[in-house]
Amino acid sequence: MNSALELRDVSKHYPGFSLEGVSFTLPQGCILGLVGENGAGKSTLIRLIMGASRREGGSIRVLGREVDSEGFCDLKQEVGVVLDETHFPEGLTARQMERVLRGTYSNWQPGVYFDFLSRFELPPDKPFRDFSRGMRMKLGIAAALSHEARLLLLDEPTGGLDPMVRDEILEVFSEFTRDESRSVLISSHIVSDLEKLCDYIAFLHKGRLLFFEEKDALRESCGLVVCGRAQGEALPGGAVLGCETGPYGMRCLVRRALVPRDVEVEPVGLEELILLLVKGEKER
Amino acid sequence: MQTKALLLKDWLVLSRQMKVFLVLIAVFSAVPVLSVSSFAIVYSAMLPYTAMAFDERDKWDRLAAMMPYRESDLVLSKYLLGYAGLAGVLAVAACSRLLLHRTEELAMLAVLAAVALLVLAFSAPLLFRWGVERGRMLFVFLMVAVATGSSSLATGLVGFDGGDAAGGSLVWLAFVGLALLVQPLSVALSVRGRRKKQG
Repeated sequence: MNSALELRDVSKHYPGFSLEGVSFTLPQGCILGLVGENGAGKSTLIRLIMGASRREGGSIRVLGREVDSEGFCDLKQEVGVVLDETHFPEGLTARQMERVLRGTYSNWQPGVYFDFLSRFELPPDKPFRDFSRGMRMKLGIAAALSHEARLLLLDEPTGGLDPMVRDEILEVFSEFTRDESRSVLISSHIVSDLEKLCDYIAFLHKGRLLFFEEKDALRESCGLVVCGRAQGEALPGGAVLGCETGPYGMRCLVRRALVPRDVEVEPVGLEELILLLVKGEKER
Repeated sequence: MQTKALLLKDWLVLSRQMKVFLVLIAVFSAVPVLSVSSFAIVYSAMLPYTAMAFDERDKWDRLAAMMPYRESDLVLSKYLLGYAGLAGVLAVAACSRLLLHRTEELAMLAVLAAVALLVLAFSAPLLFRWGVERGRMLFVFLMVAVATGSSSLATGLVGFDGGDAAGGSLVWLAFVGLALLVQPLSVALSVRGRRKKQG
């Protein structure tokens, strides 16, 4: 299977922050959810993927092409990007922005763009500055989906949006990947959104990739043990990925395969899995 | 094609956000007073900075870095905006002199345009490297220096003939030539500066 994204040992250093050894491969036709707290390096990673920032180590291939290669700028024609605040010029209207984008993307499809404007009920002649956050995100998504992109990179597209708008937007992303040549990388704080949408989950913590796994495999391989303190402490060290100790006992994230058979292991949701992993990481 | 799209974006932004100011520049350039024209000429070459300031405010530069624009497109479009603004203002200023039969001022206008081009050439790489906000002090300094010095420089250069008109023409032509010659170097430095700023 061809890969949409291939990262090997990618690193980047800023004063006070380092992205270290990030490696993963996203197969074409799949949706990857990138999870991580503020400052974990999600936006930095997206900038590196698009060559907007220079990495200091490793390699990145996007849709089979090296980021540093000669024709990478042309390949960007096939990548749709939506940043957390969209960042279109404040004074321009959606109609004016269409003229700019038409001159930018060789595969620009005005019909698709204006259909999205109607679908999202976006006024074509209202300045962008008067758009709400939800409207801004929808306009960014409309633009990203109107030039036959094969890969979508979405940086916090659902942050700060009400559940109705979030649902509407997630449905659009889901429709996008019905064509198996299309892939999505979406970063978000809202784990429940990613749980609904994604095939793969990557968790970035303080610039390090703690895991990159298929969502279903992750759910199958990990579980939750709710027990007393003594029982929790008796669990094999290698099995426990993270623990939370409360007044009434412990909640431990475990690798199912390494837990003794007599211990009851419950299914774990993605949100709790990540919270416990972070706690485990802090204890380490 | 991308450069054209970026120019269109800048034109749409400026014409929407600075309509009154652009009209004023057009009016000033038509006024047949050298100091007034010098303001219009120098300011027209500063249009790229105004466009860059809007880009930074809207964070458009962050999005543009992700879009299929080359660094050279992003830089060149700003220079072209300055050149287009300067050409427009010069055309209006020259027409007003021709209509009033004050052709002796045309050489001064050419020198003023050269000053504007030099200001653009020297300041643009710094602004592309450090951004408009941090480059603002330099911008103010250059504006003051240019506003106070450009018309007298123009008079001095055009009037410098020492009794030899051909020699005088050579001096200001050389000055205009220098302003044109440094442009490619300035563009190259700006591309490099922008790359560094992107990190």
